[in-house]
Amino acid sequence: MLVLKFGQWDYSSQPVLQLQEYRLEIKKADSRFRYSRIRQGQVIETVFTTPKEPSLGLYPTKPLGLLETVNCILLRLREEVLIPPDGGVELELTCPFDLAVIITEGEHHWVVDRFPVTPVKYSLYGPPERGVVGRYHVSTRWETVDEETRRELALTTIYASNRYQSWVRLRQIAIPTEQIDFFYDENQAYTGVVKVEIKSKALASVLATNQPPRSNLRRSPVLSPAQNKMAFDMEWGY
Amino acid sequence: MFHTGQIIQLPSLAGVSYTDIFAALIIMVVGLFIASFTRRFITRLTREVLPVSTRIFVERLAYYTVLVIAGMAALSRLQVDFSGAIIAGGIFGIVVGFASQSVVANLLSGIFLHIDKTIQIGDTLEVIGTEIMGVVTDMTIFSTKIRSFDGTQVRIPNEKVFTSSIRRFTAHSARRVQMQVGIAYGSDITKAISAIREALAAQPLILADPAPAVFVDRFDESSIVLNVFAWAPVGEFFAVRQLIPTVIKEALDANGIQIPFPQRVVHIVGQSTEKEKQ
Repeated sequence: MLVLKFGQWDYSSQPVLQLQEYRLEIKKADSRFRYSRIRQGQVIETVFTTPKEPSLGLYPTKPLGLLETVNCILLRLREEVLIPPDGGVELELTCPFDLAVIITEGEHHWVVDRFPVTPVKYSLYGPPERGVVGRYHVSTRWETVDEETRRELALTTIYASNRYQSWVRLRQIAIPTEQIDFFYDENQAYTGVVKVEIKSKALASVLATNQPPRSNLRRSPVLSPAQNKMAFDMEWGY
Repeated sequence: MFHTGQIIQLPSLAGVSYTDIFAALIIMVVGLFIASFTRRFITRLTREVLPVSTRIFVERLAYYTVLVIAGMAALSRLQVDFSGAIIAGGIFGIVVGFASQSVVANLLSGIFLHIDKTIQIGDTLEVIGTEIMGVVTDMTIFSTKIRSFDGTQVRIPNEKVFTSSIRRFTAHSARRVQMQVGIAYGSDITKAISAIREALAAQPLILADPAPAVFVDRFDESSIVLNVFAWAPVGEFFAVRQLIPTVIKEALDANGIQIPFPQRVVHIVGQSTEKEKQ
């Protein structure tokens, strides 16, 4: 079970954190800090020097996993959803996230480390010549997920509406990673609200808004703000 | 017989006033200003449209064209007669034209390569029919430079690139890794296929969709040959290619499925077998 509190990391009183198979450590010598992530004997270290005590935090962030660039999060719905013409549905689904260790100074953020907390899988959305690679996740309804699994996944709230004049079957949702924002409370991660609009038999548009799904949530630091909040067209099936 | 000295009238400053010299200087300064302005204007106009190498080429072409026009205008103000030079230049141009066909062909091919966006810097490619394979590191107006996988640089004239068949390995988001593995004739084929599929599905960099495919390809002398297809993000192709043989071997070992050595049954003519003796 992922025993984790998002937000500020009080490394002076708790220099070691054990998160499942990961062990995070901060060692301090004068103004020099050594951050380590240890997993199955594999050590990843970052050294940084700062004259004053850095504000270090653990935050849920975009689930890139092992790759530096991932175009979308591809949620494959375990239970497909049927939506009537001019109808809509609100879904609460699971979504993967990466954990980021971030130094914050005022408005500026520096990523010390970023790693996935659940097994990583990727998928191609669309044909090879035009498609995009996305982080793949078989998504289940939040209410069916046990407490232990909830800690390892983010809750994503989806508003899906059908503007097409026929019933449609929603099987998958491709959320653009560039635009998705993450939120957290003490020990639960959330994504911003996602709006899916089904426009035709072959096309749905997905907009990752920056609205928190619930009140009293804090926003994870935005590391690379999206240039434009534009809807992503799912043209290869939804 | 062509005598250059008879046709070209050498410039003479006789009869040129100070006003003409001053005007020529002004023309040159203005020309220089217009050339610089044109270059900056082209930079601004094409910065986000053209690749760097094409942009630099177009900028230079425009800059020097304006300068040459300004230079000629300034010289004619100084009463320099260009008629002889033009005739001589024409003949010289024909001679040079014949001699520099390939240079012009490379230049035009370079322009067409940029316009057509056939290849781009950073592409990994193979020039089919040659041994050239590697990453495009530079594209100038005359040639394309490729860093081959052994770290050496290959310079290919643009004409050859433009007229050759090119296989681009990095053109799409994903690539398929494929390999073959032989299993012993006594093996359970279904078990072997599902063991390989499961092992591949557990690898993060092997794409869930398109899903890995494992199927019997043929029956060889010593083994049943399975084809294994798996897709990977294009940047991870080599990592996945290196990984797959190990994953397959471990999966087959864990399920007790043998990868056989080549086998041959030898019958010796005239030597009776134990069965025949009985």
